[in-house]
Amino acid sequence: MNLKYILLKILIILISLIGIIEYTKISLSLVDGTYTKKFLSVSPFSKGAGEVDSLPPEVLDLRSLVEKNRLISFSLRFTSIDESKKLFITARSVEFLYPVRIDDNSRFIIFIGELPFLENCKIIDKFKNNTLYECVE
Amino acid sequence: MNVLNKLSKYFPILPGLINIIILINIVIWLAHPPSPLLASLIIFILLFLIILNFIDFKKNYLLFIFFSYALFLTLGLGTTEWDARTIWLAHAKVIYIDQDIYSQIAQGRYIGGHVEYPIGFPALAATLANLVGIWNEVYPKAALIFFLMPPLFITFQILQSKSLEIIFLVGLAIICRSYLFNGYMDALVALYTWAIILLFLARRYSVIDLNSNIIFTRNNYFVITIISFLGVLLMLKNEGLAITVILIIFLLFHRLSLSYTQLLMVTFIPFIFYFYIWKLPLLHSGITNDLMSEGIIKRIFDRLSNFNDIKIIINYFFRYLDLFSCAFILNFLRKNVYVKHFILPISFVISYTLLLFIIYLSTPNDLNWHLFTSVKRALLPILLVMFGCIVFSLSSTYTEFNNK
Repeated sequence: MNLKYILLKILIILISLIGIIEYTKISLSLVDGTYTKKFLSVSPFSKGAGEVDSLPPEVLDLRSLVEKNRLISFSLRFTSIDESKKLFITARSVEFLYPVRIDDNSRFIIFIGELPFLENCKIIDKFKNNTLYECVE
Repeated sequence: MNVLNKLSKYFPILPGLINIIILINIVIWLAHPPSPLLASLIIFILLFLIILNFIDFKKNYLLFIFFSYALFLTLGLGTTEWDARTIWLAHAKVIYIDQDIYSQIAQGRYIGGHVEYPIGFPALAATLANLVGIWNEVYPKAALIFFLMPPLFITFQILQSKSLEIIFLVGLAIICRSYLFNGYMDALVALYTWAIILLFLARRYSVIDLNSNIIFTRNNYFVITIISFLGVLLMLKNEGLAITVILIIFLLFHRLSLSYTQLLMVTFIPFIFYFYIWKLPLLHSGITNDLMSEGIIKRIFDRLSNFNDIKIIINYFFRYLDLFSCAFILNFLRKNVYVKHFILPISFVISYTLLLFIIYLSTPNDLNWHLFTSVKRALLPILLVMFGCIVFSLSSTYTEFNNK
């Protein structure tokens, strides 16, 4: 009886250890998903908290250009970026920049990547790798 | 202290009350966006109800550790996961910025996707944002803690053993992994499904220890608790609707000593709430589920006639279900564990697996891609119910029922 009790205790201690390992693995996997790969060093309720950790730098650059030029909608285009990254950046931009809309029919076009020549369009701003064009129909 | 002792009798209804506040929050958004004062009142009541559960600290300290850990993870890291950002928190952001609970289904507002998903979590995250006054990429996902705690409180009330509580929390981590804290709803759906099944099981197959629990001694409290859990489950994710239908059908078969009026209430109140608050506005907007697109029957029959597709689905299901389904079956070989007592979870496991099988057969997406990206999340309710039943069968509430 006593031995059974001791064995049960040992088993529970072992299971608890497994639990500690499993919950640590969860936190490590969540940290691994962030860009900075560390826990926040600012208040979680402060403005802009978690942006650098959660979003690709391209989207943050895009936001700077959008805010500076007070755009309410723009068309997002890419040069020399692979398809999966295009999808990723577009999806992140749609939710992060909301209520600014990504609209293919907008007269404002932001290019991420190399500078292309666009007919009937003029460059109105540039930030890092992003270029903002305004086009006339 | 005397007042606290008297109050403690009512602690079992606290998880149900947390759920009711979560549902009231949606109704408040319908009437008017909550002002910062009202938002702070909602969050304060929710926190107060959670803290009330911790007053009996000796009994609930494991959950307090879990709660603190959940706070640490949700408030300590940015939100990075795909669905968490593009669906759940994006919908919350749309509600917060437009101050309109139906903004995500308004034509041309949010183009991110899956706008047909229910708004239980986004509405609470938006309330949290109304309280804080700004939006950022961290704290809104902490709203999921208010959903995590009620099913765990119910589980701990019924298990009543520290060893089993530890085993349950370890199993929860192994099954749900980062989905518990990363802003996805799948772990929450699994937990709510498990909590409802456990409430059914405990009402039917336990006598000792639960005699003092007013959820089980008074029908009205049991009915309110079940309704609140079903209501939140329906408002969490589309899967909640399918799970609720399965559970209600089972409830109608077994009755669980409820009167006809109480059965009617459990059957209809959550659905009326769900249809009136969410499904009707969706139908008015003309938004349908992406899986229900044209040609669904043809796709099912095409895939049924293709043995390779069936093999792919079964392979994926076995990959995630094998270990726990073996343990679930082997558990019935134990003395004093009877299959007839677990008909509900067994029927749920079989019917929900079949339903998922049909859903994957009908997918308009590439089958491999759809399975690869979603099957491990879709199977969480099945895994957690199977694991939970093993833990429940070890608990004194069940074994003493058998010995009687």
